[in-house]
Amino acid sequence: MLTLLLLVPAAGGLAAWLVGRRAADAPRKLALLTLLVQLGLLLLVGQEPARFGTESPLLEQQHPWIPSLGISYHLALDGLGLVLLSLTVFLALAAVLTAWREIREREGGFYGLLLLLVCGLTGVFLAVDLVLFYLFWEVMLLPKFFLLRYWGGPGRVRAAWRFLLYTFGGGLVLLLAILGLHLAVRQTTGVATFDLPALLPAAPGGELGLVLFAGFFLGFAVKLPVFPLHGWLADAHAEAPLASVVLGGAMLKAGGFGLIRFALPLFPAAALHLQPLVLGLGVATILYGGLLACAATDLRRIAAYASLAGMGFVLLGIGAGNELGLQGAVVGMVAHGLIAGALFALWVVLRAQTGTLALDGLGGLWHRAPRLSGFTLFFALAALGLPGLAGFVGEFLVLLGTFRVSPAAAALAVGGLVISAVFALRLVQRTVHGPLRVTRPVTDLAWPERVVLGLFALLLLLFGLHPQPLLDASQAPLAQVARTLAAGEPQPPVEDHPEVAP
Amino acid sequence: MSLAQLLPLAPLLLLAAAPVVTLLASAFSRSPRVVFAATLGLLAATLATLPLSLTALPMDVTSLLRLDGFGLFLLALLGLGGLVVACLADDTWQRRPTARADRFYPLLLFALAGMGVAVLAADFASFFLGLETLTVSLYGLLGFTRHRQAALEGGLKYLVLAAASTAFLLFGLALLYAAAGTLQLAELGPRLLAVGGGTGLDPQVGLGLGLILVAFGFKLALVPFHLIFPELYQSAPPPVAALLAAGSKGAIFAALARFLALSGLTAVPSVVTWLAFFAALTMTVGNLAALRQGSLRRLLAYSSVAHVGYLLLALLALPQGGLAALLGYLAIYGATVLVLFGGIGLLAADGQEADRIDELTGLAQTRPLLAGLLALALLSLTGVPLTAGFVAKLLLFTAAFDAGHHWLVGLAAANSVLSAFYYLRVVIVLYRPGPPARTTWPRASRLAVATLVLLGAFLLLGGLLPDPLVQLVRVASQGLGGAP
Repeated sequence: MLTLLLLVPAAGGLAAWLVGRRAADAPRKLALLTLLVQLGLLLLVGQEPARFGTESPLLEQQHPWIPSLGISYHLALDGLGLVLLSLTVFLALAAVLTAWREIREREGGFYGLLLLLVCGLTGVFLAVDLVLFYLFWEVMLLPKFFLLRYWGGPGRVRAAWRFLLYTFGGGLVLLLAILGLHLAVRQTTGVATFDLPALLPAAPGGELGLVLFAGFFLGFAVKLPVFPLHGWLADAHAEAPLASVVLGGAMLKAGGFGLIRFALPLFPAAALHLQPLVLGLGVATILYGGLLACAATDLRRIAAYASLAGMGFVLLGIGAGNELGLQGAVVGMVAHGLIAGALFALWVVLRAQTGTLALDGLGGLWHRAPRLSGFTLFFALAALGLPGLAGFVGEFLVLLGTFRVSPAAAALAVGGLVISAVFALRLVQRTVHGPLRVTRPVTDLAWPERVVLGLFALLLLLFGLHPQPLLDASQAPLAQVARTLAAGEPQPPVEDHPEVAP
Repeated sequence: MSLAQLLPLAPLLLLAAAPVVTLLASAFSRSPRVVFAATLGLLAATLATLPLSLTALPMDVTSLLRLDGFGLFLLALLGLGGLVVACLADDTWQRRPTARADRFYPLLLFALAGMGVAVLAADFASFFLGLETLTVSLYGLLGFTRHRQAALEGGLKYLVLAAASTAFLLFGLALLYAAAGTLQLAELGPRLLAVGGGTGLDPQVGLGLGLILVAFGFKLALVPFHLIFPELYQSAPPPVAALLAAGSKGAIFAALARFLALSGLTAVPSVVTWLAFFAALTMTVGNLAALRQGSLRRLLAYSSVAHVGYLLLALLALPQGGLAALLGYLAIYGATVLVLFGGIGLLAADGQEADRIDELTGLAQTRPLLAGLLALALLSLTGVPLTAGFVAKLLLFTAAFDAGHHWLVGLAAANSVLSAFYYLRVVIVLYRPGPPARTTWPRASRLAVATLVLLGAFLLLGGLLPDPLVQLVRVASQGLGGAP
C-alpha cells in the first residue's frame, strides 16, 4: 500500500514525460489523473480512524534492501505523515490546475518533474530508514532544480544554482550526520543499521549527540528555511514557475517534518541543550522574514518572505518541544502550506491578467475584479493570522507552547504578528485599492480558478474553526516526541489500547 | 606442475596469451574485424575461466604474483572493461578508418595484461614489470591516430613523463631494497618499520617512500602531478582516454592499496598525514579546476583528478572497510567513465569528436538515448541517490568516517557539492530546449550502443539494488584485508 503511494506518482511522472512527445495536452490530464488516484489512495488509508491515537504507525512496511550495509526499505505512515501527505497531494493538485494555463511549453517534462517531486515528498514523509529518507530527500531536490532552471523566470540560472548550492550542501551535512549516527550506534551496540526504530534507543548523547543534532538541524533548517540559511528561498520563489511554487510550499514542510520525526526524538538531550538557540533562531526568522516582507516590492517576494516568517513560527513551536508547541507547528505547517499555495495560485491569475506582479504596477483592482480582490484580501488576512482561520490556530498554539518554555521568546514572536499585519495589509492596499494602474483589460476569475481558490479558502476556514481532526490525527506521534523531550531520553511507545473488535 | 594446478591459472595464462595471439592474427589477416573478433573471444574466455580460480584462492603463483579474491575481482573488472573498450574502439575505427586499426587490439591487450600483472603483484619487481608493460602500450595507444598532431604530441609527452616517474619509482625502490633487503610486499612493510626502530621511519626509508609516492602521483594524476592529464584526455582517442581514466589509474591504485594494506604502513602517522594531504589537495584542486572547463573531455579529466582524491580516502581507511570501498568505487566509477568516454566517442563527426560542451546543446532532442545515458553517468558521478555513484560514495565515506577521518570526509562532501555544479551544468546543456547545436550525428554501431546501454543498466541497477555488489566487494576484499 505504501509502496503504491510512491509508485503512482513515479509511474505517472514517467508516463507524463513520455506522452509529452506525442500530444501536447496529454501530460497535464495524466498528471491530474495520477494525483486524483493518489488522493483516492490516501483517503483509503485514512479510512482507519480506529487506529489514530495509537503511537504505532498506521501502516508499516519493511523489507531488507541492502542488508550488507544495514539499509532497509522501511516505510511507515503515522498521523503526522498522513496530514502532510494529504497537504502535499492537495497542493500538487492545485499546482497542476494552476499550471494548466501557465505552462505552455515542454509540458511533458514539466509534469513529469512535478510528479517526481511529489514522489520524493511522499517518500520523505514515509521513510523511516535514514538512508532511504536521504534518498528521497535528494529525489525531491533535483526535480525542483530542473523545474527552476528550465521553466523559471529571467533570473532562473542564478536562482537555480543558488537553490542547488544551499539544499545539496544541506543534504550532504545531513548525510554526514546520518553516517556519524550510524557509526556511533554500531560502535556501542555492534549492530549496523540505519533504521530509525533501532537507532532511537542507542542514539548517543553528550557531546557527540550535540554535534550530530547540529548536523541534522542544519540539514533540515536549510530546507525549512531558517534565518540565516534562507538565502535561496526568495530567489527560488520569485523565479520558479509559479505553479511549481504552489507545491514548493509542501517542500518547506519536509524540513519541519524531519525535525519532528528524526532530530528531536533521536537527540532529546541535545535538543534541550540547544533549545535557547533554536527558539532564538525561530524568533529571528519570524522578525526578519516579516521585515523583509514589509520592504519587498514584488508580490512573489512578499509571499516568499511571509513564508519565511511562517516557518519561523513552525521552528518556534518545534523548539518549544512541548505538545502544544508541536501541534501548533503542525497546524502552522498545514496552514502555511495552504496560504502560500493559495497566494501563489492567485499570483498566477493576477499575472496572466495584469502582466505584472510588482506592487508599483498594481492597484485599484477591486472594481474591475471583485472576486480576485476578495480572494486576495481573504488570503492576506489568513497570512496575518486572523482568528477563525487556520493560521491563527497554529500561531496561537505555538505561542502558548513557547510561553511555557520561554516567555521572552513568546513576547518577541508576538511582535512578528504585528509585522505580519503590516505587510499583509500593505499588500492588500497596494494591490486592490488605490488608483488603477493596470492598463490591460482585466476580467475577473473564471470558474476553474474560483473552485481552486475557493477550496483553499474553505480548508483554511475549516481548520480555523474546527482544527480538531488535524490535532487528533497528529496527536499521538507528537505526544511521544514531547514526552521524549521532557524526559531527555528516548521513550518507548505507550502500549496501544486496542478497541474491542466489532 | 599438474593440470589441476594449472587450471586455476587459466585466466592469467589466457590474458597473457591474448596479445600474442592477436598480434599473430593481425599478421595473417589485416582485417580489423578479424582481430577484433579474436580480442572479444580471448577476453570472454578469460572471463569464463575466472570461476576455475575461485576454488584455489588464495594462491601464490611463484613468489611474484598472488591470486586472491581482491585480485580476482580486479581481473574480472579488467576483462569486462577490456571488452567494453574493444567494442567502443571497433565503432570508432569503423567510422574513422585509420591505417592499421588491427594493431590497436594487441596494444589494448598488452595494456590489459600489464594491468593484470600489476594488480596481482606480490612483489615490487613484478609490479614494476606490469606497470611498464602497461605504460609502454599506452604510449602507442595514446598516439594511435598518428596523422593527428595532438595525439602524437600527447603520446610523446606521456612518454617523457612516464619515463621520469619510472625513474622516481626505481630510485625509491632501490632505497627501500637497500634498507629492507626484499621487495616482497608482505615482508617489506614490517622490515621497513623495523629499520626505523619502531619509533617511526628511517630517513632513508622515508625518502624512498616519498619517491615512490611521487611516482604514483604522476601515474594517478595527484595534484600537483596532474598537469599533463587534461591534455592527454583531450588528444587521445576516446576509447583510449576511457582506458586511461578507468583502467590504468584503477589498476595502479589497486596495486598501491595492496602494498599499503599488506605493509601496515597506514599505521605510520607521517604516511597518513601525507596521504590525507594529497587527498584534500587533489579533490579540491580537481573540482575547482573542473568548474571552469569549456571542453567536456578536460572537464572529465579534472573530475577524474577529483575522484582520485576521493579514492585516497579508501587508502586511509585501510584495512577495515577501505578495500571493499575501493573495489566498489573502482567498479562503479570505471563503468561511469566508460559510459562518458564511450558516449563522446560515438559523437564524432567529420573525424573529430565533440569536445566543447556547447556542441552537445540539445543533444536530447536528436539522440535521446545517448543523452539519457550521459546524463545518468553524470548524475552517478555527482553521487545522486538511486544511481550506483551514490552507493560508491556511501561505501567510501562510511569507511573513511569509520577510520576516524571526519574532517576529510567533510571536505569530500563539500567537494561533492562543488562537483554537482559542473556535472549538472552538462546535464542542463544536454536537455536545453531550443534549436540543438547540431542536428545530425553519425550513426553509431549497434554493438557500441548496446554496450553503453548495458553499462547504463549497471549504473541504475547498482543504485537500486546494490546489495549483490556490496556483498561481492566485501567477500573479495576479505582475502587481502584479513590476511596478516
